[in-house]
Amino acid sequence: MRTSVPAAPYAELHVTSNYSFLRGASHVEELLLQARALGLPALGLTDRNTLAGMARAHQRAGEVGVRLVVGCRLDMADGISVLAYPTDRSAYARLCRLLTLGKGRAGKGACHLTWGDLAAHGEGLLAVLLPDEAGAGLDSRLDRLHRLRAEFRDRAYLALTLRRRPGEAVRLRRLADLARAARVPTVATGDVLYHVPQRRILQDVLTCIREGCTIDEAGFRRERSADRHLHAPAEVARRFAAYPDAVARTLEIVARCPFSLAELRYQYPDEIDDPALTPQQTLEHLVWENAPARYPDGVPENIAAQLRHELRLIDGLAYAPYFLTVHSIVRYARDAGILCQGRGSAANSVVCYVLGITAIDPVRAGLLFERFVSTARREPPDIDVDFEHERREEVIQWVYDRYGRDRAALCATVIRYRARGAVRDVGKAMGLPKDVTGALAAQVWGWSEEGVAEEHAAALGLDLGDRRLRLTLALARALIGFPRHLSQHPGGFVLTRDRLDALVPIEPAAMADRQVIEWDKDDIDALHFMKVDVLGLGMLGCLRRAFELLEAHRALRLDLAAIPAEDEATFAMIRRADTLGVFQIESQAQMAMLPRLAPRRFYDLVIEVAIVRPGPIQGDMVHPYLRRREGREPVAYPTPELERVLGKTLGVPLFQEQAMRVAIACAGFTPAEADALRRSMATFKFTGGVSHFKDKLIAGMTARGYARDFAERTFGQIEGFGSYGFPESHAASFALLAYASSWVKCHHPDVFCCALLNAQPMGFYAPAQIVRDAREHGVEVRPVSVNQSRWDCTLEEAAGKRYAVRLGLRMVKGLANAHGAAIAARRGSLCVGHGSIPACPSARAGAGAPGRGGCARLPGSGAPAGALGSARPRQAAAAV
Amino acid sequence: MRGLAKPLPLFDGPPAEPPVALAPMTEDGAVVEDYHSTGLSLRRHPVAFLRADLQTRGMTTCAALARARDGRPLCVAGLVLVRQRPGSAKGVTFLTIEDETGTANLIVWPSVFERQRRVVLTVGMIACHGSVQREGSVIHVVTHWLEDLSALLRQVGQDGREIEVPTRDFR
Repeated sequence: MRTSVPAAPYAELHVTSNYSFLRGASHVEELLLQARALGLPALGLTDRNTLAGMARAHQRAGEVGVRLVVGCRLDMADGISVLAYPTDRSAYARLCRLLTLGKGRAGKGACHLTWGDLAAHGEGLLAVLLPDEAGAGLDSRLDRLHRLRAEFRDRAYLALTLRRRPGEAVRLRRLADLARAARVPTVATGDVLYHVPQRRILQDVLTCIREGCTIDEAGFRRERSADRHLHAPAEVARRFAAYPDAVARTLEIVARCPFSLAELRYQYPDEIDDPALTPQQTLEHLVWENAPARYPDGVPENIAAQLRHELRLIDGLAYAPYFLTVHSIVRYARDAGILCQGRGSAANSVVCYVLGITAIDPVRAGLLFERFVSTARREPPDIDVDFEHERREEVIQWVYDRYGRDRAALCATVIRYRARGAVRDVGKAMGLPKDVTGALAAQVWGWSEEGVAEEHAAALGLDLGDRRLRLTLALARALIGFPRHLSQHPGGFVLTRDRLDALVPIEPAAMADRQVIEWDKDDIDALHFMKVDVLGLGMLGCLRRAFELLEAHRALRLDLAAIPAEDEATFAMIRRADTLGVFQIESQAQMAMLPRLAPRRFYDLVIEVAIVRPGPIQGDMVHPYLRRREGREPVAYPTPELERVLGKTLGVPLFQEQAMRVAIACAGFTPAEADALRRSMATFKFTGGVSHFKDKLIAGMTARGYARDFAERTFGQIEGFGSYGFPESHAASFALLAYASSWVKCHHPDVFCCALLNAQPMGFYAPAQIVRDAREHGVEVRPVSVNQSRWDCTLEEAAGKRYAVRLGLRMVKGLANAHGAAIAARRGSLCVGHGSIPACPSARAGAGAPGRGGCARLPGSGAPAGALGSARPRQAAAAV
Repeated sequence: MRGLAKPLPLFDGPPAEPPVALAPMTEDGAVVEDYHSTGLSLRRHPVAFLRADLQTRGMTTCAALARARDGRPLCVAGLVLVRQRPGSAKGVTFLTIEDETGTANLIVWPSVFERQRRVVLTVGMIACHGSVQREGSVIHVVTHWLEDLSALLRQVGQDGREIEVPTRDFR
């Protein structure tokens, strides 16, 4: 085929991005931009045995304006490598299934495929044989070509690629002759590893990291050709002057593979409990059935109206199955006694409240459903549900069981290089001593994405005149952001109606019984898949333990909803900033704010959670809300409608919902427009698309009689939290947990300490501070004892009105749970009929403590274990 | 057996073993063991053993900060519990340190941070030379410079091992 530009008869179809971990040396964005700059009409992305970069490349290709050909390089176990390009949607599904098969067989991060697998899934795939792999003699090449031709017929090709080795012309001629003999057409490819020549040095370093060697030892493990970057079509045509057909065939392949990820039609699982009802009918039935439980005095008319409004919106967008899914997960968790709570914008929905997904009544709190679901947005809602951290796995397995492993999988998280890892790995490859790379890595924060600067190295007394050091720092900075491997998202599930492995390859996760798709959360969002978040929250686990302890020791049956509301003693404690260990309001920044904000009721906590940004309050950061609350600034509302919207926050917009309500009430925005305003503010740094809303808001407000400077000030206030705005619903969900944990800490500090220690690691503070805080509140804390401690920390009888906390074996570093449990279990069996463990060290009991004080008692007998009680946990650990 | 004057006392029963009086563990040694095995100690705070030394160096305790005037220059020492560098705080780093009397919150401005990256980011026990900043009941110490006290901390327990305090870093 001919294109209008005669100089560009070539598309690059053989491109490795950095999603081929430790191999490709350029991001997909860089490759696409360079392809456009060089005038390549299309780019075929062929990462090794993976489509991990494809979703991202698909988005970027649209933005950049380069046609993306979906493809994959399949490296098979029998030494054959093939580039595969699906011609249509069903061929793509087969490719996904093929990769899923290989990954399932090989385990995490690997792929094991054979020629037979490829043949079985090959329908509709174009296959380009790569002839230059190791160990391929002439005969075996011919043999392979015949097999390829037999299997793929007119969909078989042979790649001609320059290797920049001696005898290149002869080699290419032989390959072309072979291809003709086998009646397989040839196609020219560039085998690209990076977008520009300058990246070669980084690619060498990647090779070293992959091979675990230094650059000096790498030898022929390095790529020998320095030519593996993208070339302009004219340059490729010049190089393959003897094979113009092979060059032109690249465009033939592009034309034969019109498939794009845009064709993926995601379908949500049906969620049919009752076949006679549609999902929408099932949802409506559930809502009206459950509403009286939330409103025992009858459903108020405004609530009923809101419910009808929400159900209408849900119906219009066909989101009913999604709500049903979340509802069934939450119902399962409740039945299994697992604490859970919806968070985020879902709390704006009365439907979610009625179904028990969230704990905040959005109508009473004046929340806005359009913040959650908007017709204008036409994108899936996002219901995040937090579960007890330690029991989340049960929920995850239940989801797998209910939806089936072929229809449910977790999203991936792409683990990328950050500053520390990059400088360590590059330094190692460059042959720097470990102490130097360690010292360099210690110069930056663990999460830093900025890299180690030259002056940081100079501060360590290192010689920046050294070329290796300078190169290391520069290359490490270039490496930051490179994908390193795929990991699993903590709880983002993708559920489908049909087979998931027809949409995206699935691989087994490192953890048993889990599987992960190759795409991450952002990819899923961009392709409009629905996702259910099953997140873990340590504080929920802590509270469940606290409730169990209260029931066992104080005969007090509580749950989140049953905690006495608006308790004065609790708020007094919070005002003293005596909140170590409490959810959310325990950081130094929050503690510094508490005495000033002086919370007296639940809503104050909602505000506290929302306005305290990390970091103590510096003079210029004092919030206008605080000034008004402390009476240092007058509270004034120019109009009654503004007072209605901002009254509860003293006229200062604090939440995203309020910004939206201001726009609706004072400037005549529709709810959907207001949501668009909120979203544009959250991202306006990147897009600059906010000025259109500014004009509209100010015009709308002045038309309604507001002064222009007031309108501008209002816009400024709304704009102010583009970067940090909090949905009120989210703050309210978190404030509820903050209040519940404060209540337990205030009234039962012994129980709180014990539960919090058993829920570690979580929160802001280490066990040392939790224990210290408990002791300062008069709780007796007893040391780890080989005779008394169970695995978890426990409560023991003590003299005062409080229990004493006995530290558990879980506190002992390096002691495995199984071993700790064995100690506790063995202790019981030895004690039968004796009343006490023999005083002398008994190897069987694991009691390595020297025999001072032979007065050890039965566990639970109440008295402390005397001298032995002051414990030598180290010996206990060593004896195991 | 000829040549032997008398049989060796191989089977005469166990020899009398003189009782060995093992020195009891010192208290600071026990604290070091506690920290190594459980990350906390119920005995005394490690810094308590260094108090005399710190006092001769002119360090105040964390608890004494509550009584310090605004703007007063002072030094305070302790184990680093939390390092925090929130994105919203214009590059300011916040450290929380702890001694046997309580905790203190330190503010490290970017200029000080850049001069002393290693100390801020890696050291387990520091002394902060700075001045008190009071905002109502909220007290911070604005850091002028930080001193690495890990060598001093290693003296606790006298066996040269440093107590490892689990520091948590937050953004």
